[in-house]
Amino acid sequence: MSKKVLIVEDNELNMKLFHDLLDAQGYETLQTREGLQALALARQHRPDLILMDIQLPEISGLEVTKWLKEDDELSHIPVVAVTAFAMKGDEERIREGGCEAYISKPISVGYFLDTVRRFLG
Amino acid sequence: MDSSPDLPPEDAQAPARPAEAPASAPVLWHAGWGLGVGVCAGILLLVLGQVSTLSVIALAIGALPGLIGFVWRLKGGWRRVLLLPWMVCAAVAASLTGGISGPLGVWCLSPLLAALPMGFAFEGVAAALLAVAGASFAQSSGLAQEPPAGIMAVWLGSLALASTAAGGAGALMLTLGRARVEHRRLEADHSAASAVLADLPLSAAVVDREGHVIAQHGPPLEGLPFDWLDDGLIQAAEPSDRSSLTAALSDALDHGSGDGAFSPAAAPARRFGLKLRRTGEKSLIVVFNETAAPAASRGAELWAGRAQLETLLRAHPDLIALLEPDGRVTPLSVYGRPPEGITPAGLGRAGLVQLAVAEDEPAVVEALKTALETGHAGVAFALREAPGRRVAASLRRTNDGRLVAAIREDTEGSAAAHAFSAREAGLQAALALAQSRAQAQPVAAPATEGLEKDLAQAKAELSKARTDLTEANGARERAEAVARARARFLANMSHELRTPLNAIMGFSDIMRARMFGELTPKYGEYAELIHESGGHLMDLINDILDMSKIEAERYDLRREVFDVREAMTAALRLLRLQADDAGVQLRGVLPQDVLLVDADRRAIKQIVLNLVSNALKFTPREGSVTVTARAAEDALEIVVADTGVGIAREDLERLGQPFEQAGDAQARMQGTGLGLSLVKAFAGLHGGEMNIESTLGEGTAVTVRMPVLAVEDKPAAPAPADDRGARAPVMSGPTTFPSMPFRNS
Repeated sequence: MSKKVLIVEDNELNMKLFHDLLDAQGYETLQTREGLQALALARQHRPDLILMDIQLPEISGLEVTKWLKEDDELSHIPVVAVTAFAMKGDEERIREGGCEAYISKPISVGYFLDTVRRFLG
Repeated sequence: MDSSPDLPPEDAQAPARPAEAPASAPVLWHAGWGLGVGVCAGILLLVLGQVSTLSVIALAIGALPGLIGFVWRLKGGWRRVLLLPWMVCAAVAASLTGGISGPLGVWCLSPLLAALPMGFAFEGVAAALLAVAGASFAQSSGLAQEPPAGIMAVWLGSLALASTAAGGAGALMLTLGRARVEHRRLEADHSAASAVLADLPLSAAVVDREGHVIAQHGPPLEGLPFDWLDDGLIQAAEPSDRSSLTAALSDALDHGSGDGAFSPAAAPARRFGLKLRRTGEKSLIVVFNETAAPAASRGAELWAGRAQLETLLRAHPDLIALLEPDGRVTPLSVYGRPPEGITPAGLGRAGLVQLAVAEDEPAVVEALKTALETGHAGVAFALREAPGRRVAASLRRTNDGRLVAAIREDTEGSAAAHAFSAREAGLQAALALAQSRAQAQPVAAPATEGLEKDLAQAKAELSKARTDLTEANGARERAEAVARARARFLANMSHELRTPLNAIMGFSDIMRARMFGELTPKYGEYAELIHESGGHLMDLINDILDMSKIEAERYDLRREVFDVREAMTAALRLLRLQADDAGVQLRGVLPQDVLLVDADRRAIKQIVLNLVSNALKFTPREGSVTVTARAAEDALEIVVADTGVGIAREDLERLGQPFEQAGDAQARMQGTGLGLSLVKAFAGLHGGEMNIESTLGEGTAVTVRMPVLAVEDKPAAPAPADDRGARAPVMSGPTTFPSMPFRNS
């Protein structure tokens, strides 16, 4: 059975990019551009990995991550932040927010896939 | 006979009814009388065998009031009624036996004896006199019976005397007992009153006009133990409170009463309120305010809160004062640390306005007005009493329409003003000198004019400097707001640029990796070019961000101690591809030993990246770029030397300025023009510098020196200056230091 990845991303092109990359690797993807729905999808489908954009329209990805990590049933799911916040201090802030890994945009496809594989085995 | 009655126990316990005699003592006395007379009569009958009927009746009547008093237990004042049967019975008994001079005549005193234990001595005397009068009247008018004769008269007389004596003794003892009880009650009352007084949370003293203590009472006041008896109240108070306290004492003596307040010198944080009342021509009773006493816990809390507040105010780094609307100081309201040139007493005397030099007075008055109208204001002014010193005062309106002023030294203004006023004073002196000379020699007048002009100019400069200072403060606030907005803008811009760039670079990366199948060679090349341009755009964005942050002085170095060789190797690894493409030999000359530096790792990498990619751009194929790092004296020295085209002298001047580039248009297209300025800025942030040496057609060497060597583990000897590739390992692979220079075609 293929691994499921939940992509939380509000930019349509970037969503397509991540979807195509993961799809080509044989992963199943769930997609949402909205934080609250991300939480609902995570509960419903129990993905194996969550790719989390930080700047989301309603609720910050960091906030969603916090909720995920506070939920006993969801806290085991690794969360990888994929974000264009690449200023000084952003990575620390994001790691402290509970994300297991951090990929800055623009991504390198190689590094992106390596990171995903690291969590999906 | 009547025995002396002991005091019933309840009497001692009934001090609350002081007007009444012991409740049952008169009853006992009455019983004793009745019983005694009855028993004596019985004995008389037994002894004599035969007694006249009249005598028996007389004896019975004599005993009767005792029985009445025993049976009819009247209370309080009603007991006086009992004196009536006593009076009547005594008179009748005496009359039946011959009247007042008869053997029972002495019983006419019995009303008095009965009255004594009840506490009605006066009524008793009256009743006894009436009884005597009754018996005498009966005798003289002939109403009285014949007195008994012979032995009978003797017996009756003896009985009457004995009963009267015994009754008198009993009455006396009861009366004495009553007095003793009264005394005990008074004593108890007194001690209870004393205890209550001692427990009262009040301290009081009687003092004279000068505050000398005549008497004192109550618990010692905290902070003011009653050892001020010798020195007096005034001396015990804080120096600043003494005048008001003296006034309060005089006032109370003159008007009969008054109020006051003071803090003890020994405990300035406490404050006592005083109630004053005149007790004599020259003395006052002083009651120290209840809230000052520690007994009531609510009061103590309030007091502690107040003490804390006072401590806070006294320790305040600014001088704090309560002002009347006209700037005068409310008495006893100056706290905190006075700035140099001001004393609390001086402020109290002069008020805020008078502190300022004449030319600043209008500003102070204006500030007071503004504060009263709008609630707050600020003003800075020079001090009249301390030339060259300036203070800044912040004003706030209070609820009661007064003002609170916080006064501190105006350091910025003071320094400038000091310089100016020193100059002003010098000019004034010169002016005075010139004027005195001019008076002696009229010729010197033009010189005086010159000096006066100078003086006027100096004053103008001074006032301009003050205006500038105010403007500078406003400008600084605006600049900080702008800087914050700029930082926010940079963060947003960075995010917004990276988001579309992610799609550009991501998709082109997929294409050039041919993830979904083969491309025609042309499309493959285009994908490569798109990705490369994206990377260039990324570099550009990063450079602009770095430069903006440095220009905004917002770039914070993240210093850490690390081996500079690692950082440089990592940078060179990134440059390898570019060098290969350019057909240029890239060599790294690094020390063999660990070279620890305390610096921002990213900045060091950025320096190497920028310098090397610059050098690669301007070095033709088959040329070489050599990167050297070494400890030179106490600094880290990074040299990037190339065998390139060199830089013309006139261009050298411009280089290092943002967006300036050397060389032709073709070469310029490849860079942002920010590379060298960033290197210069990063070196500057580390306290170092950048130097460029160049000869046209031969090459360029850029040297960056930064004093960042970590103190521990310095290399024993610095590498020789000119040893490119001679003894140090040369870098080629990503993680190792092989000895051979690498070269790509």
